[in-house]
Amino acid sequence: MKQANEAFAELVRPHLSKLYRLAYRLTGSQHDAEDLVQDVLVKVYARRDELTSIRELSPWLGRVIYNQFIDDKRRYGRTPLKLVGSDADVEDLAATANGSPANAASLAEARGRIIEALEKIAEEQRVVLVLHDVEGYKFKEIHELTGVPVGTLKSRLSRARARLRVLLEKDGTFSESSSCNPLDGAQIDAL
Amino acid sequence: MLCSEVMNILDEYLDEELDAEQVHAVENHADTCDRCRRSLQERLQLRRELAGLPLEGPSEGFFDAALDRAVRRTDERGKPWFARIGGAVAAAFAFLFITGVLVQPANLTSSSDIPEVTISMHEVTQVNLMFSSEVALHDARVSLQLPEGVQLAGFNGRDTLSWTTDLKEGNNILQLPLVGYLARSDTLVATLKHASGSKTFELRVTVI
Ligand SMILES: [Zn+2]
Repeated sequence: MKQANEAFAELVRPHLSKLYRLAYRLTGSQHDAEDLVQDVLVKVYARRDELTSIRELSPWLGRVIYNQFIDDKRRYGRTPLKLVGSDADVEDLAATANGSPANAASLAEARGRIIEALEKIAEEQRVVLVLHDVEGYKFKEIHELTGVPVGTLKSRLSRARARLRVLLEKDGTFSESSSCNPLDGAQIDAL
Repeated sequence: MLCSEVMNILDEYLDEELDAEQVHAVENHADTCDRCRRSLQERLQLRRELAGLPLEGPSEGFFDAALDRAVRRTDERGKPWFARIGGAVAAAFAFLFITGVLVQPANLTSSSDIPEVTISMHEVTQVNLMFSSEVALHDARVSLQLPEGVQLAGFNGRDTLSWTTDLKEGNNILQLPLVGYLARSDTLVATLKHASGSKTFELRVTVI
């Protein structure tokens, strides 16, 4: 007969990569993400008898991660300096930039500026932006994770994107003009 | 369609949430309006950047170790000091890439080529390394090689640590909670690698 701890590991292990990913996107660093996952595993192990009765473990575990993050944000406080990427990423970057260190550096810088800008966005907006636009979650999935109504999520995402554009325009990463001249459009439409 | 109307639904366009008629209207407008076309391209580019943001995977063996720790329910579940000052650690190390280092514990013992500190055995000594830099660095890889007989509090059994970081300009302090358990003198090596080069820094640590 299997030991309780082996059964627990077997049940949870398939979900760890996804949980870590979520934790990383919420906290923004490897160390905080590992702390968050570790804390959740300790908590979940204490409730291991419940696990077998949970039909869909993955979203359930995701909610535990999210709630733990919200409950104890200070512990996983996003530090202003983020741990991003890895050696492999840097190599990828160099490859996609035609091997030119200069191109790779500017791509890396653009990424760095986006990450910095994300730090300046209100957390409830940033969470939606990161889950939707970075991780590709659907609104329904974000709703299941956070309990926030889809309508609210949509408006938060919209505000987060607008704020991100403003932050990036300010430092020249993207040069999108802040507004169109409606008259230009009217003239073109009239042609 | 007016520019303002187009701008208001550009995100929905990119999210593929518009009906066929609206899609058509946006695309027609963008064909003839430089500004809206540029906005569309820039938002698309930003979406791609976001979707491609790097994610640093867990440290090697983390999942196994985490499961193990959860099951054993030991007290070493977190990495308190590192979680707390991880950002500062990462930042500080980057700065040695740019400038020298000022070791400033009270027990600084030497001003030779290699800075030197003396720590007491079996006690945590905070060794503060101060760095400053004029420029920010992105995607730098930092590695720390501890000398034999010295560990970082909270990281028992680890003699190397490395992480990738984004850095900003300015002064910073790296706090290393060092614990000695062998009476000897050896060198702590920190290496920083970046697209633009690499730099190695050494600190002599004597355990008494
Ligand atoms: Zn227009």
